[in-house]
Amino acid sequence: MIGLVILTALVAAVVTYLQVSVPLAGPSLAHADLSYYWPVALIAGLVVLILTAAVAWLSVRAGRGVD
Amino acid sequence: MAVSISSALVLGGIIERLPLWGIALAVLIPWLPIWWVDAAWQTRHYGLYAFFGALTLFQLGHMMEHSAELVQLFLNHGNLAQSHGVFGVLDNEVVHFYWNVGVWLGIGVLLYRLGSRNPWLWVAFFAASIHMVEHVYLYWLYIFHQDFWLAGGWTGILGKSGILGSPLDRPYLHFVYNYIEVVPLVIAFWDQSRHVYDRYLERAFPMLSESDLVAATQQLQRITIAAGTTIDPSNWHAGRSYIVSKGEVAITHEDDSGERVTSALGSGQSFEMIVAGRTGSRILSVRAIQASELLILPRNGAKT
Repeated sequence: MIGLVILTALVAAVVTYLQVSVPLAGPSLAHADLSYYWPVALIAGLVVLILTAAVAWLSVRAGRGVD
Repeated sequence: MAVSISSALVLGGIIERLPLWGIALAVLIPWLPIWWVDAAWQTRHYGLYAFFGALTLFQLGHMMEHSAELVQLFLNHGNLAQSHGVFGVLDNEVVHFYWNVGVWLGIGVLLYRLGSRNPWLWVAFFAASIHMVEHVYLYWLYIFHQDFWLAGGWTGILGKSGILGSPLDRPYLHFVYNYIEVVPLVIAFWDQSRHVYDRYLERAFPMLSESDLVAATQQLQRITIAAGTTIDPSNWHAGRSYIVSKGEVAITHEDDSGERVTSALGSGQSFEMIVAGRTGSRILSVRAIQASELLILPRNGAKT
C-alpha cells in the first residue's frame, strides 16, 4: 500500500509539473459554446450509469450465488 | 530465440531508419506467437484468469502509449500534432472509443465472474465507467458534430475548457483516467493469482477444497508425450498422481491377481503410481494414443 501511495504521489507530481510547465496549444471553444452539447454528455452519463448499475447488480447477485 | 529475432529486427529498423512505431512493432512481433501459445495454454488450464491476464497486459500497453505521449509533449513543448504516442496512427477518437468499450466490457465480465471476492476489480470497473462516459461523449461529437469537435469539443467533459472542466488538458486528464483504471486492474490481477487453480486438477480431484486446489496447482509439473509413444513407468516416482490435461493415454495395469487391463484416460482423468509395498493395481505401461500432456502432482501435493 505504501508503494501505491508513493507511485500515485509521483504520478500526480509529474502530471502537475507537465500541466504547469507544458501547456498545450490547441483549439478551444468560446466559454458560451462549451456546454452547447451538454444533453449528449448527460445521455452518455445516464447510459453508462445504467449499464454500470446493471453489471454491478448482476455481479453482486452472482457473488451471492443467486443465478 | 525471440530475443535474438527482436534484436535483429530492431537493429535492421534502426539502420533502415524506420519510424518509432515500426521499431516498436519489430520488438513485439517475435513475441506474439509465444504469447499466443501461452495464452491458449493458460485458457485451457486456468479459464478466465488467462483473459484477465491478457486484458491487464493490453491495458498496460495502452498505459505505456499514454506515457509515451506525455514524454513526447514534454520534448515537443506541448505540440499536440507531434505527440501521438508510439503508434500514432491509433491515436484517434474511434480507436479510443472502441478500445475503452472493450476494456470496460472485459472488466464487467470479470466482475460478474470474479468480483465477489476481488474488491480492486470493483475499483477498476468504476474508474473505467467514468472514463467511458467521457469517451461516449467524445465519440458522439466526433461522429455527429465533427465541426464542434474540431473547434474545441475534443477536450470533452472534464478536460480543460470542457463542459465541466478541470485544470488538466485532455492528454494529461486521460493519462490520469488510465492510471486510476490500470493500477487497480493490476492489483486485482495480482490478487486473483492467489485464487487460481488448474481446471484439470479440479476435474480429477473434485473433492478437494478451493484452497487445496490452489496449493496443489502451485506444485504441478508438466510433461508432454508424443502420439504413439509408450513409456515404462517403472522409473516414475511412486506416490505421484498423473493427470491427463490433453490428449488420451492408454494405461495398462495389473491387479493383485495378475490380471492385466488396459484403459483409456482422457482429459481430467488421473492415475497414480502405487507406492512399493502397497496393494492395488500396478501400472505396467503408459502409451499416448494422441499427443498428450500430463500434469504431475507430487506425493501429498493434494490433501486427499
